Amino acid sequence: MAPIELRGIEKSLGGRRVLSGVSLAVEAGQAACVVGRSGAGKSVLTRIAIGLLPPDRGEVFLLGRRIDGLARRELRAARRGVGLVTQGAALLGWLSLRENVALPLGDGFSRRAALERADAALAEVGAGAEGARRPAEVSAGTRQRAAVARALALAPRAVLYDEPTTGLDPAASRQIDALIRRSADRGAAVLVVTHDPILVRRVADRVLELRDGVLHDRPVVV
Amino acid sequence: MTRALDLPDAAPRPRALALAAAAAGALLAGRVDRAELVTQVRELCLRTIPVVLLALAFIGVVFEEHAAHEARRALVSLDQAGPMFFELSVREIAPAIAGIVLAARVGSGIAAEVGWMAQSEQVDALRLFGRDLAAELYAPRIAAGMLASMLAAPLGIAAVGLAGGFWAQAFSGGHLAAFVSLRLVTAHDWALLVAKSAASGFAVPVAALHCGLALGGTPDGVARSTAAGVVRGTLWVLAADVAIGATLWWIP
Repeated sequence: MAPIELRGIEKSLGGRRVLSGVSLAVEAGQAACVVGRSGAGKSVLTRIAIGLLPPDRGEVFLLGRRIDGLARRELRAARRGVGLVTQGAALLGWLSLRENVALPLGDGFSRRAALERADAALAEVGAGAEGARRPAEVSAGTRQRAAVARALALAPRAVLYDEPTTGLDPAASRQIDALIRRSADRGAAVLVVTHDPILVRRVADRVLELRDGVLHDRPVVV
Repeated sequence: MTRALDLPDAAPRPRALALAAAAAGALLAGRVDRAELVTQVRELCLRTIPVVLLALAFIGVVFEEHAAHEARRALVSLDQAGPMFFELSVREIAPAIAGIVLAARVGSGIAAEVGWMAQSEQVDALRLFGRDLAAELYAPRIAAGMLASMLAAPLGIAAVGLAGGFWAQAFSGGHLAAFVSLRLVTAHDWALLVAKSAASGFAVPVAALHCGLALGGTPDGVARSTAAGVVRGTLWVLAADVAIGATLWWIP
C-alpha cells in the first residue's frame, strides 16, 4: 500500500460538494502535485489526507493505516512519520523557531535531545542561525523553511505540502522547491497542493488537477 | 497573509458547551500549562484590574451624587444611604461591572488572539501535533480570567465605596465611613459576589475562545470574532448575574 492513499473521498462544505469520489495514491519517493483554481478544494484534500478534517465518505490511509474515524490519541500515533507544511507555516508565535521545530519530537525525546535535533533540522534547511528567534522576528521565507524543518525533523515517510510557496519571493520559493524535491529523493511520499506552476515544474513526478471536485491526471511538463 | 484553506468553513468548529466542558475538565484535573498560565495571569490581571477599578470609582461617584440628590429630596441623612449603597456594590454593582469590563478587555483580547491563531493555522498545528488544546489554550486563559475576575470584583467594591465616600465627604456633607460600612452586608451578599465573579471569570474567556475558534480563520473573521467575543461575553455575564441572583435566594 502507498504511504498516502485516499479512496473514494467525498466531502461537502456549506452545502457545496467539494470532493467527489477522489482517489489518490502517492508512492514512496514520488512527488505528486495537485493543482487547481482557488476554492477547488485542494487544501480540504490535504486536511482530509492528514486527518484534520473527516471525509463524508471514503477511506483515508497514512503509512498503511486507515485513519478516518480514529480517536485523537490513535490519530496522533498514526501521524508519527508524517509531516505537514502549510501556506502560513503554522508556527506557534510564542515559541522560538527551534522550539517550534522540536514540537513534534515531544514523545521519545528528552527536551535537550529534541532541541538538538531541531537545531540540526534548522541547519539542514539553512535556517540554523535563526533558531532562537520567534516567527514574527524572521522573514516569511525563513518561517517557511522552519516549517519544512519541523515537518522533516522526524525523517517522515510521507510529507504533505499545502501551498508552500504562496507569498514567498522567487529566491525563497526556489529554496523551498529544492527542500520538497529533496524529501522525495530521500524516499518519502510527497503530496503537494499548489497553484504555483514553477514549483510543479521543479518538483512533480506526477501532476493531478482538481476540477469540480474530481481529480484528473495531467501530463508532467519538465 | 491569505488563508490556507480554500473554503470558509473547512475548519471544524467547536461547540461552546464542549469547549467549556473540556476546559473545566482540564482545570479540575490540574491539566494546565504553567508557563502559559503565568503569561495569561500577567496579561489578564495586570491589564484588567486597573480598568475595573477606574470604572467602578467613576460609578461610585455617580451613585453618590444620585444618593445625595435622593437624600435631600426625602429629607434624610446621606449617611443612611451609605450602607445600602455599599451592600448594593457588593452584591450587584462590583461583580456586574467587573464582568462587563472583563468582557471588553479580556474577551476582545482572547477572541482576537485565538482568531489570529486560527487564521495563521497555529490551532491546526496544535491539533496536528496532538497537543492538549484544553490544557494549553483553554485552561490557562480561563483560570487567568477567573483569577482576574475574583480579584477585580472585591477590589472594585473598595473602589466604589472609597470613591463614593470621598465624594460624599468632600461635596455632599456625608461621611466616608458610611460608604464603606459592612452593617447591611450579609452572607447572602458575599455568596452572590463570589458566585457572580467566578461565573464571569469562566464565561467571558469561554465565549471569547469559542468566538475566536469558530469565527477566526480569515482576516475579516478575526475582526468578527473580536466583536462577537465582547458581545457574547457581556450577555453571558448579565445572564449569569440574573441566574445566580435567582438561584441563591435561599442563602440567609
